[in-house]
Amino acid sequence: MKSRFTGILTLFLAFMIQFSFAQEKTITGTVTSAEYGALIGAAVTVDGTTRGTQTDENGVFSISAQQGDVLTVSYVGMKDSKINVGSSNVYNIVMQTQERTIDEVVVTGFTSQRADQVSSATVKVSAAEMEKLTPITSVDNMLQGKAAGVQVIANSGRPGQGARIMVRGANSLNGSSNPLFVVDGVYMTSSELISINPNDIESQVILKDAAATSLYGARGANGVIVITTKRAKEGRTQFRLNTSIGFSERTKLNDFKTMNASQFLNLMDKYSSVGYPGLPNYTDEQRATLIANGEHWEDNIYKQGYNESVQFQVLSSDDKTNFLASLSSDKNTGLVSSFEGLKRISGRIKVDTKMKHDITMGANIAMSYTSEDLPRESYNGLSPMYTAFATVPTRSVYEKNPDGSLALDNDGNPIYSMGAGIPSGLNYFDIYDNYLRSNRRFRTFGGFYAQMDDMFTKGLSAKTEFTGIYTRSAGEQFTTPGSNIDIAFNGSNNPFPGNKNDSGSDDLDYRWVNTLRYVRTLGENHNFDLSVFSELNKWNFYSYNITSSGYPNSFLQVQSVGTNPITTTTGRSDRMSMGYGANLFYDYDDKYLVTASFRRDANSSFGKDNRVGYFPGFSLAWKISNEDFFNVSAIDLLKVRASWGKRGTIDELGLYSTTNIVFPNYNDLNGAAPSLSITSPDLGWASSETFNYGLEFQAFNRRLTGAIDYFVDIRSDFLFTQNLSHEGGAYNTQINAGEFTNKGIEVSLNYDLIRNQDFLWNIYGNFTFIKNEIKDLNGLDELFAPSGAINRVGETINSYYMVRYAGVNPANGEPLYYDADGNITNIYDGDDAVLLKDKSPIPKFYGGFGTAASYKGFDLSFDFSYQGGNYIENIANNRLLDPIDGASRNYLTDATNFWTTPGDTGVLPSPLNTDGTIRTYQDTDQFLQKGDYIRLRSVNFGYTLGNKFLGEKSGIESVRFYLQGQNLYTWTAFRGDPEVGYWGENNGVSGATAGTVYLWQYPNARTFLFGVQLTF
Amino acid sequence: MKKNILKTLVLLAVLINYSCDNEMDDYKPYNAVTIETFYQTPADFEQAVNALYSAFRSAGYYSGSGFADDMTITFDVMSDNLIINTEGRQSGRVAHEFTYNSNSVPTSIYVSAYNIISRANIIIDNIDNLPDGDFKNNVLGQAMAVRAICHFDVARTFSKIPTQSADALSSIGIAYVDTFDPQQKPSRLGTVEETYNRIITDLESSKELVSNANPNYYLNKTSINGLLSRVYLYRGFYDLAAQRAQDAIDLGAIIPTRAQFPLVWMDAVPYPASGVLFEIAITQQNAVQLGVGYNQFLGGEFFSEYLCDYELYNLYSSTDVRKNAYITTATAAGNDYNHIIKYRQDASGQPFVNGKYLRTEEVYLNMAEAKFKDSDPTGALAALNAVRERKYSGFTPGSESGQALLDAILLERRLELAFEGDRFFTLKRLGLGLQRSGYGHFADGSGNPSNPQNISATDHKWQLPIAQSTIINNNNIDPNPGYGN
Repeated sequence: MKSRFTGILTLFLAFMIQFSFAQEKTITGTVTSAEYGALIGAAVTVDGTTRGTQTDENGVFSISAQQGDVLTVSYVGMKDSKINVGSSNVYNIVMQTQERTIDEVVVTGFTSQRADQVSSATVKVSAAEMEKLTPITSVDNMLQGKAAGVQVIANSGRPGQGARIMVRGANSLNGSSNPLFVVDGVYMTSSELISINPNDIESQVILKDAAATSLYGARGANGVIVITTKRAKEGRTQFRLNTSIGFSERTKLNDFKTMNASQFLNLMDKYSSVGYPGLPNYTDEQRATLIANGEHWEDNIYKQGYNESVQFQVLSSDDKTNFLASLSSDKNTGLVSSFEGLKRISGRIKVDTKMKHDITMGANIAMSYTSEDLPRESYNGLSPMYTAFATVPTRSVYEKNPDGSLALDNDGNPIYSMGAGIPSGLNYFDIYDNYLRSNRRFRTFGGFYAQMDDMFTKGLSAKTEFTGIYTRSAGEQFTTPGSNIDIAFNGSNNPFPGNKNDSGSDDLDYRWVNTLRYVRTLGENHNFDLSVFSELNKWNFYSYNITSSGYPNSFLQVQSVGTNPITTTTGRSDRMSMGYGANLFYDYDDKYLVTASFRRDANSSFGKDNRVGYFPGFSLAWKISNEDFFNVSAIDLLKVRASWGKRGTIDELGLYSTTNIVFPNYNDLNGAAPSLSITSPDLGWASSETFNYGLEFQAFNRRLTGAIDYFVDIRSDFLFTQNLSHEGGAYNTQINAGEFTNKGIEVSLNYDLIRNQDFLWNIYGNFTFIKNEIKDLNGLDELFAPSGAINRVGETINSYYMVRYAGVNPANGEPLYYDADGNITNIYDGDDAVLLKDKSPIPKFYGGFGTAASYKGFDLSFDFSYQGGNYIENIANNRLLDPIDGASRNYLTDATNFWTTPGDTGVLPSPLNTDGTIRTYQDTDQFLQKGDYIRLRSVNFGYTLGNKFLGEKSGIESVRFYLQGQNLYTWTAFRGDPEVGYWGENNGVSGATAGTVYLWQYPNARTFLFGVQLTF
Repeated sequence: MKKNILKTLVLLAVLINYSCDNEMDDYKPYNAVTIETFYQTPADFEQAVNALYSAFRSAGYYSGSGFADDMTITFDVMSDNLIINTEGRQSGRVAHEFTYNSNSVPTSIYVSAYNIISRANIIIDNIDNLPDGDFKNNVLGQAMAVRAICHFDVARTFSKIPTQSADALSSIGIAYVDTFDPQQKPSRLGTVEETYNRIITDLESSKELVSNANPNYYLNKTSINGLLSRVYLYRGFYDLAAQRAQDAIDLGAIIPTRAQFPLVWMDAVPYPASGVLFEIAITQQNAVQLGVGYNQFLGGEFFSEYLCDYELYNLYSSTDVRKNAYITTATAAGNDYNHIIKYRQDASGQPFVNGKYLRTEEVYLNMAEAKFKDSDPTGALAALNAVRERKYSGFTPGSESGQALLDAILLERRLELAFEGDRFFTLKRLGLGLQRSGYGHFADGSGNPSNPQNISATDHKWQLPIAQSTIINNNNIDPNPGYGN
């Protein structure tokens, strides 16, 4: 038996060998890619046979084949390469990275879907796009100009500041809220994003319409941005070390120059010459001294910022386990003297592994520690920005002797100059020597999950997932006892000098989500993917705030040293929600695609009777290009889609649905009174109902891709703070009322101009146009927004409401105004304020465009973002021209251009009223300026050395050197920097629409970086 | 099969409903009790009474806002007592220049007063949860008195004052609110007469209920009588004004001595010796600095928003103890100014002083004016001299009569109550119009004079505009004549 078998085998082998000897030869070669160098483990197979091999550690393969065979080389993440075996025995293969594969997956949080099968309005921004703005930027800032429908504006340029993001227009009457960020399943707010290392991110997916966001129920109404971190490519291990250093300076302000000492003195002379009273009169000698000793305070206050970043990342995967670990350290000093800016250390470990019983488990834990100090962005001498602009240029930081040398005190130290011409009379540098404000935050976020596949039947899986974010923060503020700022804050003769405030919080937000999913194909072409889930979400928050005074010196700063306790308070609050939802994807033959979703949500912030909300979503798509009758070969994909959905929000809802008694203090005893917010028993969910119609296409072998969307978002029943009668006690309550709509069009296009092995060049652009209209205001015709803007039925949300300026009377230099009826008058009357039609802080259009090219190892890209149609009240411009402050404040250089002689036109008003008193500018639209701009957001230039150059023995896959510039240039007519975020501190209305006023925000930075990315 | 058992267990674990909506009923605020369960016990009412007074720390009364909209400054800004510092931040400029309108009302007293009134009303509405007795009466009396004086403050600011002009009594009054209902939308009373009737009724009833043992940072019998003397004087009921002033004095209202007087402004003289009959207590914890409306002390210099008018400055004689207690002449950024320091600091140098709502001196001056108007010049002179002898060193009693006596009473009233919110109302209620001095803002009267210099007695601006927002929130409220609401 045995011998017989051996005999057959021998015969068979003999036949084989004989056959081989006759036909085959050995083919060898290396497999490389431009990005990774030699590819290890690339599969090389001979088509039509079972023969195959893999490349070795040097990317070298060796295989037997015969002339005329076709070899297929495949590698994860690369396009398959085919080689026709000819007479040569050596073939070196350079593989191309697979771009925009048809199987690209869009993760939408609760579900994920193939990109080409999505039927709602979603847009994905990949890591490659975000890497163009790497250093210690909050990841939300990176979306600027990158995605149609998504408007991103930096809150201010302070390092670590998040962005204001509006997805498809304003979402509230009272200043719009940011979308929800879902980072690997963790719900995060915009301000928490600074804790994320941008290098960990694989993609950001923006869910724009309600069909996509209704699964998020209460939290989806402002759009959802799903951020997914990187995963290792199967079978590969990579170590990446990225370092960069750079410097930054203020973005150049357009047409916004303050005076130097001689310009300032000339202005004072010109003021005096027209009769401006009380201005100093200097001798030539004094003038010369002032000009010589004066300093330009913008130079004093601002410094060159310094950035550095070191990031290390490991990505590794085999067929069972996928592993990511990263560690990074970043620093950005910011632009303001006396402050150190932001520092961040962050790390992440993410691992998942397939186990027995079809179980997969994973954990993903990120941690970050940030510390920052906080310059005031206010309208007084505490603000670096205000001080820089407003300080008189004849002043110097230190007192100087007439000969220009520094005046010294008895100890031989220079003396800070104080008094007239310095805002608040206190020297900025003196203030911040003695007034420290800083914040430290520790955050940990992430989660665990376990999933069991193929339960009972193939395609049925169960998953349980716990995710959370925990933040611990500590803030400190210390005023040195006896310092000038201490006296300003707390009075002189204060028996308890010095002041210390410690505040902090402890904040946990977690979710527990259980999901059952069943994926099944019925018949040949009916594909179902059904999920049902439950989601429990709990949040609790604890805070403390301790203040005391009575400190002995500048260096003992802990509360136990303070002899006079002032306040010690703690706070606590919480909220929970419970949701159930279901989602169905169905497609027929990858031609007709249906998505249906439904969520029921209950939230503890509502009263018992109204706490449940229902949010449906439905979308359809038709892939025309997959129809048999469609045979336009140039078009790879043609898809039309339509969606409808409803979603809710609790954004402006108080935490509890009770009318509370609050406990004001009287004579250090507790008082008790009703809180100003009175509960309305009928309060329910605010909602947004959206319709979206879209067209997607890919053509010319996917060289041209694009999408066009038309959307309508009807926002109604928003939580309307109804101010009750003043006579009833001036309480307020929340009701559901009102309606406004956002309608718009989004277009995005991408075209590869050149695409070949050595040379890639593409251009892209996106454009969003939005029109907003108020339909109903709880029966009111109009309503003032917190910012002083007006909301009126039929008009744009937050329209400006001002007296119109009519220029200067050429006869006498008086400013003229329009009265409410449009007649010109010389009398200013606040009652003449009118709604300025179509002038609101919300842009009517925005977007971005750019181009990227790579040739061999070189890469170069330019990215632009733009917006327009919005108006900004330029208060900084106004205040620095207003003559009222005489010699006590600096001016813009064009302040000299005022009326002096009858007939002058195109000038500022005379600095004096007709009765000879000093004029001050009234609140008008004189300084309401168009906010249109285009900004060169980033330029990247890099060179990559593959391992060919470095040598395979080096163990290095690639090294990329790059230069990066951010916010390099801005084209605008706006005076100043048109990227205006929030109002700054101390200006009351934190919720006001982004971009309402240009005041004393921390300047945006223009950054230049050099970096090295090493992969091994 | 075994595998299926495992999978069934996993499935059950996933499907278990681990929470239900009812858990949400337990979510209640941690720092507040709810309105339904409060106003039950004496301790609740004690706290509710405290909150009546704490609400006087709001804008329009004693908030320390620094925007010239507190009672300690607004009604002097709108008079000839103060002059704007053109080197200052220009706060309250619309008030000083009488350019306000319904979107820029110089004071928030309307909103603050009605909020305090609502706190009084919720006490009054629930008062029967307390057992009858002295405690209940004392709580109820204070709530009624607070309700009355807040209505009075609104009435004198936004409506005409009965003695202001012949048509005043029959001109439009204000809403008189006597129940707690945040949703209510009352109308203004048809006449000023009706409004004052309601105020007087509340005050007269309250004085019978409150205890006179209450300290001066709560209302007591003495202070309510003192307040009645003010209300009756405004109403033109001079005999009653004099009578209630006398009642207050009989109950223990004392004028502080010259030596004590400067210390009164530093809260260093206890009641009753301080003569402060009713004040709003302000502690360091409240961080209310009344003085910042006038100026901030930075780098050893006062940076003032408003300065003492030079004419008024000269009206204070050098023997007048008030001159240095109220005003100091000092340099700021190279210029000399007459700064107001009345609210600058307490005896320990802290910038937290109490808001003085009613002082004995005013009660005497009310009496003097009322007796003069009631044809009792002797009594009037006696009351006036009682004030003057405690203000001037080496004072010999005056002997004015006729118009000179009235002038002397009004002069003393101006000097005594300057920077306490009286001057505007004195000019208004007597129909005197405003005539400013013409001096500039520097210490020697040079500099920039105020604009305008005159406001006629019949100008509609004496009745401040009802805010546009007030009318938007309650369309039953009629605007004041003369303003384009």
